[in-house]
Amino acid sequence: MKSDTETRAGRDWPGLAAAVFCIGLAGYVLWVTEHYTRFGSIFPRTVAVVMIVVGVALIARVIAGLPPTPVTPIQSLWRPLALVGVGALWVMLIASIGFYPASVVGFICAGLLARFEPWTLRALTGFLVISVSVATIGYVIFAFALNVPFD
Amino acid sequence: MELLTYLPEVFSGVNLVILILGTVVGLLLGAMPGVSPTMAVALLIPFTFQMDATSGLILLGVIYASTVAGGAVSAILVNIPGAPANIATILDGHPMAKSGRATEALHYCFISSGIGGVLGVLVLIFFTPPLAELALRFGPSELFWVAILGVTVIGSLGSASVLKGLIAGAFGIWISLIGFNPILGTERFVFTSHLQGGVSIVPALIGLFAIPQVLYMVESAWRGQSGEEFRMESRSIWRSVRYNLSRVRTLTLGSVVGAIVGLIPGAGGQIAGLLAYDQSKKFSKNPENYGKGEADGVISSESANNAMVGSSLVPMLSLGIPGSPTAAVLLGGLLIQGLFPGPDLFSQHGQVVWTFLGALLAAQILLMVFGLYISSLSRYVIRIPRQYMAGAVAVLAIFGTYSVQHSYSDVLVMLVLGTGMYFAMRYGFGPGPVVLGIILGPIAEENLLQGLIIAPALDGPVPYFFTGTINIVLISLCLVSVGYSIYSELKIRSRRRAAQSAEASGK
Repeated sequence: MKSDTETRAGRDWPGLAAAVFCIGLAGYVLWVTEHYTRFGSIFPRTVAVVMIVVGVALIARVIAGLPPTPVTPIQSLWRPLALVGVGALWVMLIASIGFYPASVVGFICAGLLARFEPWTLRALTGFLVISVSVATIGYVIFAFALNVPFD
Repeated sequence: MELLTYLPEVFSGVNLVILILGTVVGLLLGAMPGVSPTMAVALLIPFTFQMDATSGLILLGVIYASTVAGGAVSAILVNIPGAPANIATILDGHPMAKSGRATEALHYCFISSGIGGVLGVLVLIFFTPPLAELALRFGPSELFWVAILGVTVIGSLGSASVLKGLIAGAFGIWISLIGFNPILGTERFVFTSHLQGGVSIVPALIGLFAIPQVLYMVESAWRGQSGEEFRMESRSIWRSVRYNLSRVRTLTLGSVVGAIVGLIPGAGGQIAGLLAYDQSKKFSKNPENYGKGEADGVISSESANNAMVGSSLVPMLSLGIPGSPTAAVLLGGLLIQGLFPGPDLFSQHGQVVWTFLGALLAAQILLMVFGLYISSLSRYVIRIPRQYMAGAVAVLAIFGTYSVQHSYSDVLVMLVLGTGMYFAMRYGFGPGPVVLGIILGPIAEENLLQGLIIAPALDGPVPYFFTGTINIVLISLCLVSVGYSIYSELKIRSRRRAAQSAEASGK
């Protein structure tokens, strides 16, 4: 039986990418803060130096061929990516059709992506009813009990 | 004692309602596979905005304690730990359920959680005030090092890879830089209008802890789910109580190990449960029964993980260093209410903090009572289909984030941070250090700058920040935590390599 957390063979390329990103970000911080006063730049520049040191150490570890730490492999990428798309759509819909309708749509889309079993008419009907109910309850709690203005 | 003075407040009006509702909701949330205590506390922070500081803290603290206990339900019934703290519970809890002893295992869980939890809260009550007194001696230089220690400890001890943990912590500090300089008020690193004013704590907490979990829910079928349905046998609660109380040695061992581990910042419930389980097995007369449905395995791990809850708040309430990722989220909740850890918390907000501690103590008893009575219903909770859980968590995350400042930008920031964290987690980066960086970054910067203002009047910046007993102790602790973590990582790697080569030579 395969364990949930597996050791990947080869080098830690994602770790290398993260280290390069980290060093790049630190370089950007050093570049931007050059125009700051000494007092205003000291903390960001210190953080940037730490990021460079740790990033270089991670790159050295990858180059030395040390095996990466065990990671949980992604089993299916399309569903999480589709859900990220749903999140983006949700935010856009909030601005155009309003918070409550957008949340009903978002709940339904998220739920459709999270179900792995085949849909039956009964399951779909129940799901739609519960989706609208949960989104409504959530809206009522925040809008009326917690006085959040959703306009 | 002040605790007794404020104890009646715990059982008055709104606080009592929050205490009871919070315990029941926490137990049910914890029982749902995929809902971790950290995520539950983060999602409930927006609900505390309409409450006074005492009630808000009680809600978050009670949810923390009861979700850790409730996590044992899915560990036992579906072989999925509700939280990392419940991993050790699976080892014997699930075999017990498979052999028709599911109710018995759940009874032991809640009784042991309650007893361990009480010890943890007593540690919290007796250790926090003297430690907070020590913090009275802290000036800007010491507070700067305390903040750095918080990020370093969680980044190194709390992560699988020291370097990745430190990168995550540094990235979190960088996120905290977005917005305004806390002393000069100048704007910096604002790439888009959505980031004006910086990244608020609540969107960051919800994004980093809840969104990866929602994405994880849609990724694949539950890992480890066997699909087996267990008949919940009928069993007298008193019989379980009697047996549980007869296991004094196991209960004491689990509770003490959990309380000690909780005091170590960054160690967390997972280590507490596994360590207590291991020690209990070593001291047992029947170690061969462990892993096959031994009740002591469940008792030791559950007493340990709930004892850890209270003691993990000791460094958080006294020094501002959270003992676990959930304690980090609680720290966020504390800061949002305008309360700062340390001696002032006890001297100026005594009513808030002592009522909170009293409520945490009462919650341990309540979670034991409610847990025992709802354990037969827990099988229904774990059957909630994921399509509802994913949708509900997403709705709560978006509504909760928006409710903080009524800002769409916060929602966007929350989604971006959460999506990034989901992918980062797959490659060994944890959300704990990032959150700590975001929370402690401003504290570190403010104290660094204040120290730099004071230093010229004293001996200059270098002696001010690098000399003095407390500074040296704190710097040493930073170095020791990193050094020890590197040593542990290398040791684990060499063990793994040895196991792999032994496996290869055996083929």
